[in-house]
Amino acid sequence: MKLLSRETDRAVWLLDTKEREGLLFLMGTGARRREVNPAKGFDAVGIEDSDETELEGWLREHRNSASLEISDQLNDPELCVRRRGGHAWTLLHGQSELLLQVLNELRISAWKRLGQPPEVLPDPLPPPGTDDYIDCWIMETASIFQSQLLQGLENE
Amino acid sequence: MSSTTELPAPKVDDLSDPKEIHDRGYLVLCWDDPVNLMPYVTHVFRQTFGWDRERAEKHMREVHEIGKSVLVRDNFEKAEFYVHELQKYSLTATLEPAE
Repeated sequence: MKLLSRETDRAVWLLDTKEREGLLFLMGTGARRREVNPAKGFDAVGIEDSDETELEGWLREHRNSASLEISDQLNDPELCVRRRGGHAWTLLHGQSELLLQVLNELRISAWKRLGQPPEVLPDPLPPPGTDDYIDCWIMETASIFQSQLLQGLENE
Repeated sequence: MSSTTELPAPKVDDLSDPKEIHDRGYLVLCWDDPVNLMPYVTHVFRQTFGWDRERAEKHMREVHEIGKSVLVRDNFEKAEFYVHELQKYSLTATLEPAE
């Protein structure tokens, strides 16, 4: 995922075919996995359980609609235009932030399902095809996209 | 982002004198966690508060090294808005009455 151009209110990103498929997987399967096995929030000081549950419900709804919105954009041929080398994907400023939020939340959810390992990834990796392996993939892939997005957005 | 659901109100301490508390304002705090990346936290602070990189990094380091950082002091409505914005980014943020 490379930044092609950036204006005040939008940025255009180049996605190769595998990157686009990876993002679609994250927004589809990755997002559904957090519903099947939702990760609980951090134990934040100052937030009581009942408030946390209510807030998490609202946040979950926000993230689910965000994942769908991003999937729709990736499948919209006017927003994600096929070109040599992949697709040129135009994201408005707010949409880039939404994508960052979703990627971060997917990464954290997968990390929690893995038992919150102190290292970034377990060593050795779980066997391919297992739930843990998929969560490792989600963590790693979301992290890569997140870093690329941040690099593009923060470069001034 | 596209949701129109009403936001739940964050928990704050019971107020013995709401007027007095209101006058003093509310603090927005961000707490450390083991998983959010430091450049990400810096970016979120810049986006949420419009800070320059230096100021955002200062608060990010406080969160990382001290365990929390007081980000802003404002009236209840704005403080509540900031907390929800930070939580949308999966940061652990709370508000409490300023003393």
